[in-house]
Amino acid sequence: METTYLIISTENAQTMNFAGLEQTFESCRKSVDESMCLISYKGPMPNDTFDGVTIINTMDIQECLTVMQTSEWFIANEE
Amino acid sequence: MISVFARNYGPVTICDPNNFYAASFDGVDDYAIVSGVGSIKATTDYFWSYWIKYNNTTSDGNLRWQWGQSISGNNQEDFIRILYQAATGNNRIEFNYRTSGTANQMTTYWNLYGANSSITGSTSSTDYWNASNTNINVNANGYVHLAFAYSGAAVGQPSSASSVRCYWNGQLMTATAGATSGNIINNGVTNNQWGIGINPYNLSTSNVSNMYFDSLFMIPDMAVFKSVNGFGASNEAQIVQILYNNGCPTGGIVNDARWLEMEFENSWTDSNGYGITLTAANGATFTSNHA
Repeated sequence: METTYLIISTENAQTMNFAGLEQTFESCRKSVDESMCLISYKGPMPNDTFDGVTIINTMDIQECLTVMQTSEWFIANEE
Repeated sequence: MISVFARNYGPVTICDPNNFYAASFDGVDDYAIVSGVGSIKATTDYFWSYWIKYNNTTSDGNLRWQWGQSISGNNQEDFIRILYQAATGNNRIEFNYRTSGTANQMTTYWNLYGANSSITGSTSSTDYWNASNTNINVNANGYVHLAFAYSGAAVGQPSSASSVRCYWNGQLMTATAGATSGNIINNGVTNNQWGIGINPYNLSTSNVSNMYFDSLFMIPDMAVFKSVNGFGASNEAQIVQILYNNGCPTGGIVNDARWLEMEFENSWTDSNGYGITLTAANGATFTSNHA
Protein backbone atom coordinates (compact mmCIF):
# COMPACT_ATOMS: atom_id res chain seq x y z
CA MET A 1 0.00 0.00 0.00
CA GLU A 2 1.25 3.45 -0.89
CA THR A 3 2.77 5.55 1.85
CA THR A 4 1.40 9.07 2.10
CA TYR A 5 3.06 11.80 4.12
CA LEU A 6 0.86 14.11 6.15
CA ILE A 7 1.53 17.37 7.89
CA ILE A 8 -0.95 17.73 10.69
CA SER A 9 -1.64 20.45 13.19
CA THR A 10 -0.32 19.60 16.63
CA GLU A 11 -3.42 21.23 18.10
CA ASN A 12 -5.72 18.49 19.39
CA ALA A 13 -3.28 15.88 18.09
CA GLN A 14 -2.24 14.40 21.40
CA THR A 15 -4.77 11.61 21.27
CA MET A 16 -4.83 10.95 17.55
CA ASN A 17 -5.13 7.27 16.83
CA PHE A 18 -6.56 6.68 13.40
CA ALA A 19 -5.75 3.50 11.52
CA GLY A 20 -2.79 3.64 9.20
CA LEU A 21 -0.74 6.10 11.24
CA GLU A 22 2.87 5.11 11.58
CA GLN A 23 3.69 7.26 14.57
CA THR A 24 2.28 8.53 17.76
CA PHE A 25 2.05 12.24 18.40
CA GLU A 26 4.90 12.01 20.90
CA SER A 27 7.30 10.51 18.41
CA CYS A 28 6.42 12.41 15.25
CA ARG A 29 8.80 14.97 13.82
CA LYS A 30 7.75 18.49 14.86
CA SER A 31 8.25 21.70 12.93
CA VAL A 32 10.59 24.32 14.33
CA ASP A 33 7.75 26.22 15.99
CA GLU A 34 6.16 22.90 17.02
CA SER A 35 2.84 23.82 15.45
CA MET A 36 3.04 21.02 12.90
CA CYS A 37 3.92 17.36 12.91
CA LEU A 38 5.07 15.08 10.07
CA ILE A 39 3.69 11.57 9.94
CA SER A 40 3.53 8.85 7.35
CA TYR A 41 0.30 7.09 6.69
CA LYS A 42 -0.76 3.93 4.89
CA GLY A 43 -4.38 3.86 3.84
CA PRO A 44 -6.99 5.61 1.72
CA MET A 45 -6.36 9.29 1.10
CA PRO A 46 -7.59 11.13 4.18
CA ASN A 47 -10.00 14.04 4.25
CA ASP A 48 -9.24 17.45 5.70
CA THR A 49 -9.61 16.21 9.25
CA PHE A 50 -9.06 12.91 10.96
CA ASP A 51 -10.04 12.10 14.50
CA GLY A 52 -10.39 15.82 15.19
CA VAL A 53 -6.92 16.60 13.89
CA THR A 54 -6.47 19.12 11.09
CA ILE A 55 -4.51 17.86 8.12
CA ILE A 56 -2.51 20.74 6.68
CA ASN A 57 -0.91 18.98 3.76
CA THR A 58 -1.01 15.59 2.06
CA MET A 59 2.09 14.76 0.08
CA ASP A 60 3.96 12.08 -1.76
CA ILE A 61 7.54 11.58 -0.72
CA GLN A 62 9.04 13.89 -3.34
CA GLU A 63 6.94 16.82 -2.23
CA CYS A 64 7.55 15.90 1.38
CA LEU A 65 11.29 15.95 0.88
CA THR A 66 11.07 19.44 -0.58
CA VAL A 67 8.91 20.71 2.24
CA MET A 68 11.20 19.21 4.87
CA GLN A 69 14.12 21.27 3.57
CA THR A 70 12.33 24.54 4.25
CA SER A 71 13.17 26.65 7.26
CA GLU A 72 9.94 25.74 8.97
CA TRP A 73 11.27 22.24 9.44
CA PHE A 74 14.98 22.12 8.87
CA ILE A 75 17.76 23.61 10.94
CA ALA A 76 21.16 23.10 9.42
CA ASN A 77 23.74 21.53 11.65
CA GLU A 78 26.05 24.24 12.85
CA GLU A 79 29.05 21.92 13.09
CA MET B 1 11.56 3.27 27.89
CA ILE B 2 14.78 4.52 26.45
CA SER B 3 14.83 8.01 25.03
CA VAL B 4 15.57 8.73 21.41
CA PHE B 5 18.68 10.63 22.47
CA ALA B 6 19.84 13.45 20.27
CA ARG B 7 18.39 11.81 17.25
CA ASN B 8 14.81 12.70 16.92
CA TYR B 9 13.49 15.66 18.62
CA GLY B 10 14.26 18.59 16.42
CA PRO B 11 14.20 21.58 16.30
CA VAL B 12 17.27 21.44 18.52
CA THR B 13 20.58 20.97 16.78
CA ILE B 14 21.08 17.28 16.41
CA CYS B 15 23.69 15.11 14.84
CA ASP B 16 21.67 14.55 11.71
CA PRO B 17 19.14 17.34 11.21
CA ASN B 18 18.19 15.79 7.92
CA ASN B 19 16.94 12.63 9.59
CA PHE B 20 13.34 12.57 8.46
CA TYR B 21 13.05 9.05 7.06
CA ALA B 22 13.97 5.41 7.43
CA ALA B 23 13.74 2.53 4.97
CA SER B 24 10.46 0.60 5.14
CA PHE B 25 10.00 -3.09 4.32
CA ASP B 26 6.57 -4.71 4.45
CA GLY B 27 7.53 -8.24 5.50
CA VAL B 28 5.75 -9.70 2.48
CA ASP B 29 8.28 -9.31 -0.30
CA ASP B 30 10.11 -5.99 0.15
CA TYR B 31 13.86 -5.83 0.27
CA ALA B 32 16.84 -3.76 -0.94
CA ILE B 33 19.88 -5.13 -2.68
CA VAL B 34 23.05 -4.03 -4.44
CA SER B 35 25.40 -6.12 -6.56
CA GLY B 36 28.98 -5.58 -7.61
CA VAL B 37 30.20 -4.67 -4.14
CA GLY B 38 33.17 -7.01 -4.15
CA SER B 39 33.31 -8.86 -0.89
CA ILE B 40 33.85 -8.47 2.79
CA LYS B 41 36.63 -10.90 3.59
CA ALA B 42 37.04 -13.03 6.69
CA THR B 43 40.56 -11.71 7.09
CA THR B 44 39.45 -8.13 7.79
CA ASP B 45 38.08 -6.43 10.89
CA TYR B 46 34.59 -5.37 9.91
CA PHE B 47 31.93 -3.36 11.67
CA TRP B 48 28.19 -2.85 11.16
CA SER B 49 25.88 -0.39 12.91
CA TYR B 50 22.19 0.18 12.24
CA TRP B 51 18.81 0.91 13.79
CA ILE B 52 15.98 -1.56 13.33
CA LYS B 53 12.31 -1.68 14.23
CA TYR B 54 10.25 -4.82 13.72
CA ASN B 55 6.63 -4.17 12.80
CA ASN B 56 5.28 -7.71 12.87
CA THR B 57 2.94 -8.17 15.81
CA THR B 58 3.32 -11.95 15.91
CA SER B 59 6.40 -14.05 15.24
CA ASP B 60 7.07 -17.18 13.27
CA GLY B 61 10.16 -19.34 13.31
CA ASN B 62 11.60 -18.17 10.01
CA LEU B 63 15.06 -16.71 9.78
CA ARG B 64 14.49 -13.01 9.29
CA TRP B 65 17.39 -11.33 7.53
CA GLN B 66 18.61 -7.93 8.64
CA TRP B 67 21.72 -7.77 6.48
CA GLY B 68 23.38 -10.31 4.21
CA GLN B 69 26.21 -10.86 1.76
CA SER B 70 26.25 -13.52 -0.93
CA ILE B 71 27.13 -14.26 -4.50
CA SER B 72 23.85 -14.72 -6.37
CA GLY B 73 22.93 -18.40 -6.21
CA ASN B 74 25.96 -19.21 -4.11
CA ASN B 75 25.71 -19.46 -0.34
CA GLN B 76 29.14 -21.02 0.05
CA GLU B 77 31.83 -18.39 -0.54
CA ASP B 78 32.10 -15.33 1.72
CA PHE B 79 28.47 -15.75 2.67
CA ILE B 80 27.38 -13.64 5.64
CA ARG B 81 24.02 -13.53 7.32
CA ILE B 82 22.94 -11.30 10.18
CA LEU B 83 19.42 -12.16 11.25
CA TYR B 84 16.89 -12.66 13.99
CA GLN B 85 14.98 -15.85 14.59
CA ALA B 86 11.89 -16.09 16.80
CA ALA B 87 11.37 -19.79 17.47
CA THR B 88 10.94 -21.63 20.73
CA GLY B 89 14.41 -22.02 22.15
CA ASN B 90 15.83 -19.94 19.31
CA ASN B 91 14.82 -16.46 20.34
CA ARG B 92 18.10 -15.11 19.13
CA ILE B 93 20.24 -12.94 16.89
CA GLU B 94 22.66 -14.81 14.66
CA PHE B 95 25.86 -13.90 12.85
CA ASN B 96 27.09 -16.52 10.38
CA TYR B 97 30.14 -16.28 8.12
CA ARG B 98 30.94 -19.04 5.63
CA THR B 99 34.16 -18.83 3.67
CA SER B 100 33.50 -22.19 2.03
CA GLY B 101 30.08 -23.55 2.89
CA THR B 102 29.17 -24.94 6.27
CA ALA B 103 32.42 -26.94 6.30
CA ASN B 104 34.35 -23.70 6.79
CA GLN B 105 32.31 -21.28 8.82
CA MET B 106 31.72 -19.57 12.12
CA THR B 107 28.38 -18.85 13.76
CA THR B 108 27.61 -16.94 16.91
CA TYR B 109 24.20 -16.68 18.57
CA TRP B 110 22.95 -14.25 21.16
CA ASN B 111 19.79 -15.30 22.96
CA LEU B 112 17.66 -12.29 23.79
CA TYR B 113 16.71 -13.82 27.13
CA GLY B 114 18.77 -15.31 29.95
CA ALA B 115 22.10 -13.52 30.30
CA ASN B 116 20.95 -10.83 27.88
CA SER B 117 17.53 -10.27 29.41
CA SER B 118 18.55 -7.08 31.20
CA ILE B 119 19.88 -5.65 27.95
CA THR B 120 17.09 -6.63 25.57
CA GLY B 121 14.11 -6.84 27.94
CA SER B 122 13.13 -10.29 26.67
CA THR B 123 12.21 -12.53 29.59
CA SER B 124 12.11 -16.00 28.07
CA SER B 125 12.76 -18.17 25.05
CA THR B 126 9.26 -17.35 23.79
CA ASP B 127 9.30 -13.64 24.65
CA TYR B 128 10.02 -12.53 21.12
CA TRP B 129 11.19 -9.27 19.62
CA ASN B 130 8.16 -7.91 17.78
CA ALA B 131 5.97 -4.82 17.72
CA SER B 132 3.45 -6.07 20.26
CA ASN B 133 5.99 -7.04 22.92
CA THR B 134 6.39 -4.11 25.30
CA ASN B 135 9.12 -5.92 27.23
CA ILE B 136 11.68 -5.28 24.52
CA ASN B 137 14.02 -2.35 25.20
CA VAL B 138 13.43 0.01 22.31
CA ASN B 139 13.69 3.76 21.94
CA ALA B 140 10.68 6.06 21.82
CA ASN B 141 10.17 5.32 18.15
CA GLY B 142 10.35 1.57 18.66
CA TYR B 143 13.88 1.11 17.37
CA VAL B 144 16.82 -0.93 18.63
CA HIS B 145 20.40 0.00 17.83
CA LEU B 146 22.52 -3.01 16.84
CA ALA B 147 26.23 -3.10 16.19
CA PHE B 148 28.38 -6.04 15.17
CA ALA B 149 32.16 -6.11 15.24
CA TYR B 150 33.98 -8.92 13.49
CA SER B 151 37.69 -9.59 14.03
CA GLY B 152 39.37 -11.15 11.06
CA ALA B 153 41.86 -13.98 11.11
CA ALA B 154 44.42 -15.31 8.66
CA VAL B 155 43.62 -17.61 5.79
CA GLY B 156 44.15 -21.20 6.87
CA GLN B 157 43.40 -20.46 10.49
CA PRO B 158 40.33 -21.91 12.18
CA SER B 159 37.29 -19.70 12.40
CA SER B 160 36.38 -18.62 15.87
CA ALA B 161 32.90 -18.21 17.29
CA SER B 162 34.26 -15.55 19.62
CA SER B 163 35.53 -13.38 16.79
CA VAL B 164 32.30 -11.38 16.55
CA ARG B 165 30.63 -9.20 19.17
CA CYS B 166 27.08 -7.89 19.21
CA TYR B 167 25.96 -4.70 20.93
CA TRP B 168 22.28 -4.01 21.68
CA ASN B 169 21.57 -0.35 22.42
CA GLY B 170 25.25 0.16 23.07
CA GLN B 171 25.63 -2.75 25.48
CA LEU B 172 27.80 -5.77 24.77
CA MET B 173 25.67 -8.90 24.65
CA THR B 174 26.73 -12.25 26.03
CA ALA B 175 27.22 -14.80 23.29
CA THR B 176 25.01 -17.77 23.96
CA ALA B 177 26.66 -20.30 21.74
CA GLY B 178 28.75 -20.61 18.67
CA ALA B 179 29.63 -23.18 16.09
CA THR B 180 32.79 -23.34 14.07
CA SER B 181 34.13 -25.69 11.46
CA GLY B 182 37.15 -25.83 9.22
CA ASN B 183 39.44 -22.93 8.38
CA ILE B 184 39.19 -19.55 6.71
CA ILE B 185 39.44 -20.04 2.95
CA ASN B 186 40.72 -17.48 0.44
CA ASN B 187 38.11 -17.24 -2.30
CA GLY B 188 39.96 -14.60 -4.25
CA VAL B 189 37.94 -11.87 -5.92
CA THR B 190 34.22 -12.52 -5.71
CA ASN B 191 31.33 -10.44 -6.99
CA ASN B 192 28.96 -10.26 -4.08
CA GLN B 193 25.63 -8.70 -3.35
CA TRP B 194 24.59 -7.00 -0.16
CA GLY B 195 20.97 -7.26 0.87
CA ILE B 196 18.88 -5.55 3.50
CA GLY B 197 15.91 -7.57 4.70
CA ILE B 198 16.70 -10.39 2.29
CA ASN B 199 18.90 -13.42 1.82
CA PRO B 200 20.81 -12.25 -1.27
CA TYR B 201 21.67 -15.85 -2.10
CA ASN B 202 18.14 -16.84 -3.16
CA LEU B 203 15.90 -13.78 -2.54
CA SER B 204 13.46 -15.99 -0.68
CA THR B 205 10.38 -14.18 0.61
CA SER B 206 10.36 -16.63 3.54
CA ASN B 207 13.27 -14.66 4.96
CA VAL B 208 12.22 -11.06 4.41
CA SER B 209 11.66 -8.83 7.42
CA ASN B 210 8.71 -6.65 8.35
CA MET B 211 10.81 -3.78 9.56
CA TYR B 212 12.00 -0.24 9.42
CA PHE B 213 15.73 0.14 8.99
CA ASP B 214 17.76 3.29 9.52
CA SER B 215 21.30 4.71 9.47
CA LEU B 216 23.42 1.84 8.26
CA PHE B 217 27.09 2.45 8.93
CA MET B 218 29.74 -0.04 7.83
CA ILE B 219 33.46 0.15 8.47
CA PRO B 220 35.64 -2.20 6.46
CA ASP B 221 38.81 -1.56 8.42
CA MET B 222 38.56 -0.44 12.01
CA ALA B 223 42.23 0.44 12.37
CA VAL B 224 42.17 2.82 9.43
CA PHE B 225 38.88 4.32 10.52
CA LYS B 226 40.13 5.12 14.00
CA SER B 227 43.33 6.68 12.75
CA VAL B 228 41.75 8.83 10.03
CA ASN B 229 38.64 10.13 11.70
CA GLY B 230 38.24 12.67 14.41
CA PHE B 231 35.74 10.35 15.95
CA GLY B 232 36.98 10.65 19.51
CA ALA B 233 37.06 6.93 20.03
CA SER B 234 40.02 4.65 20.47
CA ASN B 235 38.30 1.32 20.71
CA GLU B 236 35.31 -0.60 19.46
CA ALA B 237 33.12 -0.09 22.51
CA GLN B 238 33.61 3.67 22.36
CA ILE B 239 32.67 3.76 18.68
CA VAL B 240 29.51 1.84 19.50
CA GLN B 241 28.67 4.26 22.29
CA ILE B 242 29.08 7.28 20.04
CA LEU B 243 26.88 5.77 17.35
CA TYR B 244 24.27 4.73 19.86
CA ASN B 245 24.14 7.96 21.82
CA ASN B 246 24.20 10.24 18.80
CA GLY B 247 22.25 7.98 16.52
CA CYS B 248 24.47 8.54 13.55
CA PRO B 249 28.14 9.09 12.83
CA THR B 250 27.98 12.60 11.39
CA GLY B 251 29.74 15.33 13.29
CA GLY B 252 33.42 14.41 13.50
CA ILE B 253 33.42 11.81 10.81
CA VAL B 254 35.20 12.48 7.55
CA ASN B 255 33.36 11.66 4.38
CA ASP B 256 35.46 8.99 2.82
CA ALA B 257 34.93 6.14 0.39
CA ARG B 258 36.53 3.75 2.86
CA TRP B 259 33.40 3.50 4.96
CA LEU B 260 29.75 3.37 4.12
CA GLU B 261 26.97 5.47 5.54
CA MET B 262 23.38 5.14 4.39
CA GLU B 263 20.86 7.50 5.94
CA PHE B 264 17.79 6.41 3.95
CA GLU B 265 16.65 9.99 3.54
CA ASN B 266 14.37 9.18 0.62
CA SER B 267 17.43 7.78 -1.09
CA TRP B 268 18.95 4.35 -1.57
CA THR B 269 22.37 5.89 -2.29
CA ASP B 270 25.08 6.18 0.34
CA SER B 271 25.77 9.63 1.71
CA ASN B 272 29.53 9.71 2.15
CA GLY B 273 30.99 8.86 -1.23
CA TYR B 274 31.33 5.12 -0.81
CA GLY B 275 29.50 4.83 -4.11
CA ILE B 276 26.68 2.33 -3.94
CA THR B 277 22.98 2.56 -4.65
CA LEU B 278 20.64 -0.10 -3.39
CA THR B 279 17.80 -1.29 -5.60
CA ALA B 280 14.50 -1.28 -3.73
CA ALA B 281 12.42 -4.31 -4.67
CA ASN B 282 8.67 -4.94 -4.58
CA GLY B 283 7.68 -1.62 -3.09
CA ALA B 284 10.30 -1.06 -0.41
CA THR B 285 9.96 2.59 0.45
CA PHE B 286 10.57 5.14 3.21
CA THR B 287 8.75 6.02 6.37
CA SER B 288 8.80 9.15 8.49
CA ASN B 289 8.90 6.86 11.54
CA HIS B 290 12.70 7.02 11.62
CA ALA B 291 15.00 5.90 14.39
